[in-house]
Amino acid sequence: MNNMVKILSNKYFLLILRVLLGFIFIFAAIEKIVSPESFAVSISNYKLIPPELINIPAIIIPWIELTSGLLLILGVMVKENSAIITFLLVVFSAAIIVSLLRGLNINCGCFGTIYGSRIGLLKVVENLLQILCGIILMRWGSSIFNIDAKMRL
Amino acid sequence: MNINITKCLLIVLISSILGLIYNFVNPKGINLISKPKGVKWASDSLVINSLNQIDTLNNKKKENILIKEKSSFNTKSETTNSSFKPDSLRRNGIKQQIKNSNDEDEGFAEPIGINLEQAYKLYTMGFVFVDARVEEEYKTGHIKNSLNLPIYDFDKHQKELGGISKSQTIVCYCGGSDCDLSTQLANKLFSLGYKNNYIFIGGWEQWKTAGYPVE
Repeated sequence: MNNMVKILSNKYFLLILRVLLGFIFIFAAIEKIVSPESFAVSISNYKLIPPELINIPAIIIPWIELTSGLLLILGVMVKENSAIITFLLVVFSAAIIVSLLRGLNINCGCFGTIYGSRIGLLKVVENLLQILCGIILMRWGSSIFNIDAKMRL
Repeated sequence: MNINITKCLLIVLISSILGLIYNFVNPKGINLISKPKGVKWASDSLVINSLNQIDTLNNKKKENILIKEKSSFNTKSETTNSSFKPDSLRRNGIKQQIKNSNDEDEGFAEPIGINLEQAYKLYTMGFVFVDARVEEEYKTGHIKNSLNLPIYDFDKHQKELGGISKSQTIVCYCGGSDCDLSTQLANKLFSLGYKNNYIFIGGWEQWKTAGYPVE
């Protein structure tokens, strides 16, 4: 158990997690920002939000992803940005699971429509892995190559 | 875990404001409150109008044949070749015929939804059906003679539209009533100038269950 904690709290391991999660979210955000209408359609396919309100998350979510992704890579407020990303991932996963249970066969819209894939268990597992990364970063943060730490000096 | 919730809310707030500002200045920006894209349903009379359009074309075709018969003594083989065959018209003949007769047709104001019965009527008369699902799903089964134009890979498959005139009637469908791809495709085609668009709401599921022609 102690060894496990040692590995998870290793500063280089945490740096890799931080940069990886950051890049995934920046990549996910860009296509959605470029084509907000397609993302709105993807959200509407889940049939979880009233049609009139679909554009609001379509406009806002990609920018939250982009900002949190950038700040994670730069090492600014790592724990807080990890918490935001983990929260988003939990919401996305819940939406996918509900849609799967309802038998919907739709594109997930996770990386926009160009790189998007169909919803399925694989997508849920992918999200769970990212949630795990987020929780690890929320617990231990990341102290190297960290702008926060430099600003405190 | 020592997470500062205020900082989290601040990041979310600033990101949201950035998003709203970008959306405001972006030419591709979308309205904050969207108008629901409810599909208007076609009345039977509208579908019958489309069918009448074909009947008129058939009559014109037959008249042309008669004229040809009168003007030429070499009638037997010519008449056989040009007699009306609805199935053979599906992909080629009907497109050109509608194009010629309907060049000034302005089309519908928006894509219109149709039910199974109306879709089958249009199918039997040889209208082009377009499948909006992804290629893999299309390959596992689709409405017989339908074209595949996946909305998520539209640019790659756009060449499928090559032989179809913009005034021609097109019926878009996807997996079923829960699937929105047909509406997206119909709207996309509509924006490209294909103004005579129907959306078969029941889609593949209803068609297959009804036992209509598949391949």
